[in-house]
Amino acid sequence: MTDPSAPAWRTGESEFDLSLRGVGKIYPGNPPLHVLKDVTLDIAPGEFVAVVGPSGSGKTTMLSIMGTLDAPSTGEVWIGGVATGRLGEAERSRLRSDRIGFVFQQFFLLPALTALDNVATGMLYQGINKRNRRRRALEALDRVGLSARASHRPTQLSGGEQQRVAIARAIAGEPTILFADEPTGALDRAAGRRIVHYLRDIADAGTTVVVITHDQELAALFGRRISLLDGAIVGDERELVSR
Amino acid sequence: MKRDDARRTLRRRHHLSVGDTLTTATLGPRTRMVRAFLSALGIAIGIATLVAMWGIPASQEAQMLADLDAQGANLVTVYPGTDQTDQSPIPIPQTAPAMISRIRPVRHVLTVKDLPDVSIYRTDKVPANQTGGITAAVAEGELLQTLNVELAGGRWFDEASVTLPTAVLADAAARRLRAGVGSAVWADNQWWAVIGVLEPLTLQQQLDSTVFLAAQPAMKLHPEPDISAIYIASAPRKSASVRGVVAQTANPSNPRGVQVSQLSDYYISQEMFAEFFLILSLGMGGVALLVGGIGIANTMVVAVMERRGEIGLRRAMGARTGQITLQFVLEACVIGLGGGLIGVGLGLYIVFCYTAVFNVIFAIPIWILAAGPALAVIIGALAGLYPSLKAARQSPTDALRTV
Repeated sequence: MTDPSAPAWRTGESEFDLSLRGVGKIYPGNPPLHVLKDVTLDIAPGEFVAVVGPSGSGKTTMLSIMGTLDAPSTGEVWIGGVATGRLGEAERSRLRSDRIGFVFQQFFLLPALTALDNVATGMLYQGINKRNRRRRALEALDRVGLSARASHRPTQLSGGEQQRVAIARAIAGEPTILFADEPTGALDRAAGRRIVHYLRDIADAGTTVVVITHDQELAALFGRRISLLDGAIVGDERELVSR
Repeated sequence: MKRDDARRTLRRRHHLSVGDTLTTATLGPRTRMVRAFLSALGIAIGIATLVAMWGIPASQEAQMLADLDAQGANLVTVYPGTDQTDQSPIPIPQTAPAMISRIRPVRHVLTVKDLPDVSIYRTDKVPANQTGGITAAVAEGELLQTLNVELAGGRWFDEASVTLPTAVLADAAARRLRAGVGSAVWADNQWWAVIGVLEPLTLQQQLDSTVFLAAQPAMKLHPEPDISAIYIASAPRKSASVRGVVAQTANPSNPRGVQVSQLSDYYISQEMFAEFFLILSLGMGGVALLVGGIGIANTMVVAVMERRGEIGLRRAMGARTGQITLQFVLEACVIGLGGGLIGVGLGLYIVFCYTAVFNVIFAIPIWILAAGPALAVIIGALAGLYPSLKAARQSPTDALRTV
């Protein structure tokens, strides 16, 4: 066995898209708050992962650190073979624009723009010209079954449709990893199930999908379920039967 | 190897095109048009105040200058000097009027040549010693324009009348002679038909008891009279500069042999008036703009607080801090520009209304039409800078979490 702190792909065992090695997050205070405790985790390309746990278990903090939106207090996050802790702000921004997509519980759609333009905005910081952004945005909307609503504004869409637009925005730039933070939190159960269905399709197409949810029933639809409690991983189950 | 390639790729930055930058910067104002308009209105009022504070005094000043010019503030007079040794008069060269008219700010020139040997009488029956203190003179150049005087009746000399024995009477002369248009006066043993009478010349009283005789018949009787005075009307507020060069121009070989009138008190009061209004404009316009700037800063602070989600999302999508700063600074500039344009329009309207109501000349410094919006953009940028930096410095996680 070689250096245990290096990600698995470097040791030649396996090539992981995303690796966490001893990741911890401490918020200063009296006493300091240990939100994440020594999390070590490997997620392979194309995996469809749910991170489950009760409120305050550190799910969102873990997602922010995995997505380079936040820096860990200890440990290292590797994405596509790059140790993100050694990257500067501009390099992390570039990593996010090119490799990572985000979906949030609040859809964060810009109300002045049509669905198509909202999706195209997702590629704004990728250096893609406007014509190609719009072409790819239309393709992404098609993937979530909303090409017919391309010219509608967010207020003209249902909650489920708005979240699908947000998913299209996250995948239009063809990220290798998609993070979703409670994507079904603002939706009813049927709409939530449809969203999971679309996310599963995305994972099937090769994109690593990591979804945070507190809904155990929805979590059952995922290929892998990582359970967090008080900032530590307490369970990591894989679907035995392959999809 | 793979890691090195990846890092090399990450070091190359994506840049937004100018079009994308501007589209992004106008997104906020387009989305919240009412608020953008209201905060633009703050700066608009500032710019409008500045334009009005500059335009109203400028109009007042233009009117006052016109009024003062009418009273002789722009007038410089040149007289023959006297020799210091023998006190004999030094005649002004006959070429002086033509030379003086070439001085750049000079608008009109009038040359008066007194005819000291000629006396004017109401009729041929008046005894020769009762001259009534009336002077006879020949006027060359533009008397009406130079002295800014109107005719009370009749007309000034034209090409025909200047060749005939005709006369134009100044006001006091006309009253003393009890003569008017259509009558005649007696001088040099002949009748001269009165073709015009001037309004009173209050500021050039020495000319008010003068009878101007038609040049050609008068000069036939009295060839080559000396120049008694040259009256020079300059462009507004240029009389000081004209005064500085006029002696040299009138008599280049002996500038000291020329006497030049002192600057009019009116001219000096004009200068003080202009300075007073400049200080007033800067003061009030400055305060108004400060208030407008605070309005924009306030709007941008609120916008940044309200749009934390959007900022977080953009950071998540890969926007660099510099791109977020630029977006919000430009957004503040766009609001400032809108306010500036509205302000200039509003200011012009206020000045127009003022000039219409108070019946003064409409005048506005042309530079303010460009300076107003430019200043508004600068104020917008300054006002937006702090909130924009604040927006960019937000941690994306915090920005997304607090929504």
